[in-house]
Amino acid sequence: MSIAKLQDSALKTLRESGPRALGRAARSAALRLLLFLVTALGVLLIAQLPFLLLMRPGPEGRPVLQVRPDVYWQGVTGFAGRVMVTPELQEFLREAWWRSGLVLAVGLALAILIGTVIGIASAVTTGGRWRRPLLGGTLLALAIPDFIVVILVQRLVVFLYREFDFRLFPILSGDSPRGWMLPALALAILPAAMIARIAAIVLDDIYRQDYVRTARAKGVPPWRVLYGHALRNGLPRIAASLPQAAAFAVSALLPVEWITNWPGLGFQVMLGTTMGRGALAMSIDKLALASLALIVTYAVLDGLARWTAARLGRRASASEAEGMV
Amino acid sequence: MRRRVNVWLWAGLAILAFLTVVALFPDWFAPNDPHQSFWPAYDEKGAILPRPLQPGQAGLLLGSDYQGRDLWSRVVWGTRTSLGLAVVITAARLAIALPLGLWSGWRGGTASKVISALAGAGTTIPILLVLILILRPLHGLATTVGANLLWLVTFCTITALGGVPRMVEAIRRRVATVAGAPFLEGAVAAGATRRWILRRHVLPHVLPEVAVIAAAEMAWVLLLLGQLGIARVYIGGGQEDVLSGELSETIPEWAQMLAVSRGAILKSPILVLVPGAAIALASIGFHMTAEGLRRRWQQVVW
Repeated sequence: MSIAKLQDSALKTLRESGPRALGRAARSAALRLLLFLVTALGVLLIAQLPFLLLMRPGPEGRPVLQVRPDVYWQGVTGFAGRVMVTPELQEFLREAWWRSGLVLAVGLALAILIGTVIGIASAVTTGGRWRRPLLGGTLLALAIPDFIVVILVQRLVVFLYREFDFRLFPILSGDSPRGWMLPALALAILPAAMIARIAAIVLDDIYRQDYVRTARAKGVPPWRVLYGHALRNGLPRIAASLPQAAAFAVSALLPVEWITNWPGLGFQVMLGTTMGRGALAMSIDKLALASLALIVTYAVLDGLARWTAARLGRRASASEAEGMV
Repeated sequence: MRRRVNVWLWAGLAILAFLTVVALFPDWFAPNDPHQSFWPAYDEKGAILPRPLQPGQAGLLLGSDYQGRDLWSRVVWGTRTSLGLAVVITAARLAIALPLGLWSGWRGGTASKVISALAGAGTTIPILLVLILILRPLHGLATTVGANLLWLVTFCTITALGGVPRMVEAIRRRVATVAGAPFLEGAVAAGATRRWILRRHVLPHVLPEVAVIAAAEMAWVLLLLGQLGIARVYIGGGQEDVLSGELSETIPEWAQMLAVSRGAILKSPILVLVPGAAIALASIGFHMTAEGLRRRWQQVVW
C-alpha cells in the first residue's frame, strides 16, 4: 500500500471516529450528570439525618434520644426553597465556596506543576541515579496523611518564627490574607505525588519506544525529544490522572480546612457534623448546603479534568496518526 | 545477567512483618498497660507535672495522653485494632468487588454497563464526605446507647461499601483486557462453562493485579481511618458526653487516638503526630509492597 493510501485511510478513520467519539462523550457526560443528581439527592437526605436522630437533655441530665421524622421531612422538603430566598445562606455559600475554590485551584495547580516536573526529572534521568529517590519521595508523600503534613508545616513555621523571626504564613488560617497558603500546600502534596508517579511511568514507557530511540540516535537534542515526542504523546495519559487527583484534593478539603481553621466548605461540613448535632453548632441548612456545594465543586472539577484529558487525547491521537503515515 | 533485587517489595514486606509482630505480641514492645494512668506524676521538687506528660517524664518514652496513659504503649497496642480493622474493611471490599468485577468484565454488554454505571455513581461524590455525613450521626447514637458491637459492624460495612465501586471498576477493566485473549476463545470453543473459565483461566491472570490493588487499598483504608478519626468517627468503646462533647475512650486504636487528641494539635502536637506516624508507617509498608508486586509482575525494569 502506498503512503498516500495509508494517509487517506488514517484520515478517514479519524473523521469517522470524531462524531462517534463525541456521541460517546455526550452519553457519558449525561450519565454522570444523572448519577450526580441522584447522589446529590442522597446527600441531601443524609445531611438532614441529625434532625431525625436528635438527642435532648432528659431528666437528671441524661441524654434522651428523640426520633423526629416530622422535623426531618420538613427539613428535606423546605431546604431548596429556603436556600433560594435566604440572603444569609446565599452569603454563607458564596463566602465558603470562594475560600474552598481558592485553595483547591492553587493546590491543584501546584500539584500539576510539581508532579509533572518530578515525573519528567525521573524519566529523563539516565542510570537511575535520581529516579529511585524521586519515586521514593512520591511514595512517602502518598503515604503520609494530609493532617500530618499540616502539623509538620505548622511546626516548621513556628520554628522559623522563633529562631529567625521570619513569618512564613499563619499556622491557623482564619481571616488572614495569607491564610490560604497552608491549606493549599497541604492539598497539593498527595495529588502531586500521584501525578508524578503516573508521569514517570508514562514518560519512561515513551522513552523506550523505537521512534524516540531513533530520534535520539539521529542526534535530536534532548529537550526536543522531551517536548516533541515524550510530552506530546505522554500528556494525554498523564492528564487522565487528573480526575483522580481532583477527587483526592476535594476529599482532603475536609480534614485540611478543619485543622488549618480555613472556613471553606470542608470546614463548614466538619463544623456541622463534628461540633455538635447540626442544630446546636450551625443550622442544618448550612450543613446540607455546604455538603451539596462540595459535591458540585467536585463535579465541576471532575468534568474539567475529564474534558482536559479528552482534549489532549484527541490532539495526541491525531498527531500519532500523522506520525504513523 | 544479575537479577536486580526488588527493594520496594522487600522493604515493604519487612515493614509489614514488623507491624504484624507488633500486632500479635504487643506486650513485647509496650512496657506499660495501655489503660494505666501515670498521672499525677511529680518533678524533682515534688510539684505535680501538668498533663499531658512530656516525653521522658515519669519514665514514659513518648510521654502520656491527657489522661496520663503511656502514649507509646497505646500506639503499640493500637496496632492490632487498627491493622485488623483495615484488613477487615479491605477484605470485605475485595469479597464484593472481585466477583462483581470478574462477572461484569467477562460478560460485557448490559451487565458490564450497569455495574460500570453503579461504579460511576460511587465516584461522583467524595467518599470521605459521604462517610462523615452517614457515620457521624450514627456514631453519636451508638456511643450514647452503648451499642458498640452494632457500631463496629455498621462502621465496617459502610466504610467497606464506600470503596467497592472504585475496586470493581479496576478489576472489570483488567478482566476486559484479558477477555479477548486467544486462550479464552479456545476454552469457549472447547465448551468450558462460564464458571470454569472464570475460575481456571481469567482469575489467575487477574490475581497479580488484584494483589497490587489490595495492598494499595490497605494503605488508602488506613489513611481514610485517620481522616475519619480527625472527624471524630472511630471504632472502640468510646463514650461521649452528648451535651458537652467531651470524649473518653477505652480501647487503644490509632484513629481513636487522633480523635481524642485533635484539640491538642497546637499545644501538644506529639499526641497527634505519634498515631499519625504509625498510620504513615503502615501506609508506607503497604504502598511499597504494592509497588514491589507491580514491578515483579508487570516486569518494570527500573
